[in-house]
Amino acid sequence: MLVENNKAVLKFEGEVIFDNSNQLKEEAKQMLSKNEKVNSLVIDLGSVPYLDSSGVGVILSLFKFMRNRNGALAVAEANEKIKRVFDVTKLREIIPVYAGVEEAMQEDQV
Amino acid sequence: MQSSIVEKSFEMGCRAEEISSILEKIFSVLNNSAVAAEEIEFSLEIAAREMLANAIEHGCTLAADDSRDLEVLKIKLELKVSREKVVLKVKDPGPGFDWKNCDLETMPKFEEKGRGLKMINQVSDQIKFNSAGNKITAVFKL
Repeated sequence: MLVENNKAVLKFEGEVIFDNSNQLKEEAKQMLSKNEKVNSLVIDLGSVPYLDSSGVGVILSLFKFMRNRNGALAVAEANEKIKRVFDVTKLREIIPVYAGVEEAMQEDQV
Repeated sequence: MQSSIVEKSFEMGCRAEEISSILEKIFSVLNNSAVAAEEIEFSLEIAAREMLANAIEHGCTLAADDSRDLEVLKIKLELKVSREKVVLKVKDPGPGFDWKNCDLETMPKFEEKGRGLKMINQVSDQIKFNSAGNKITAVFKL
């Protein structure tokens, strides 16, 4: 996780699926707990070939974690398959999805 | 004109690591079938992955709880491709579940779980279960 002031970018690597989603979620929460000042988190999915329904659960869990500290969360760099998963699960109604990390970092709500 | 039909059966262990190679086999059959199925590829992959995830996470786990060795348990897949539709069936070694009382329509909003079957239902044209609930069929019209 890259942290700069109160902003952080968390880069996931590889598939985020039922087999590893719980571990990823717990590791992410541990990192965020060690960085209490972070109130703006971007999840970088640029190195994630696929994310299933449990991966959507990870993103929502981290969204709620950030909301509990009055922070915000956005997602960036999702490929076309993952965007389709976001459409099907209506995740975009809750969480902003940006094309690039830079763009996500510049937005006020993140 | 009669539809050309391709039917293939596959088998895999209860391991997430085997999902990628099974997907490769499914798409290899599809791409060699002379059927134009590009439009359903994303939908089929989403459904297949959720069907296999459920089979491993629930079916295999429950079967293993029943004193059966996880290493020898198998998930069975059937793929049928015709000019009109693609049909994928996944049967797990578990006892099944109460699908008759399962809401397949309402997508959870903030909950972390409970999206898999609803995703399969949404990306396919029809889903069916056997009476026990350990075999799911997803139909994709072409």
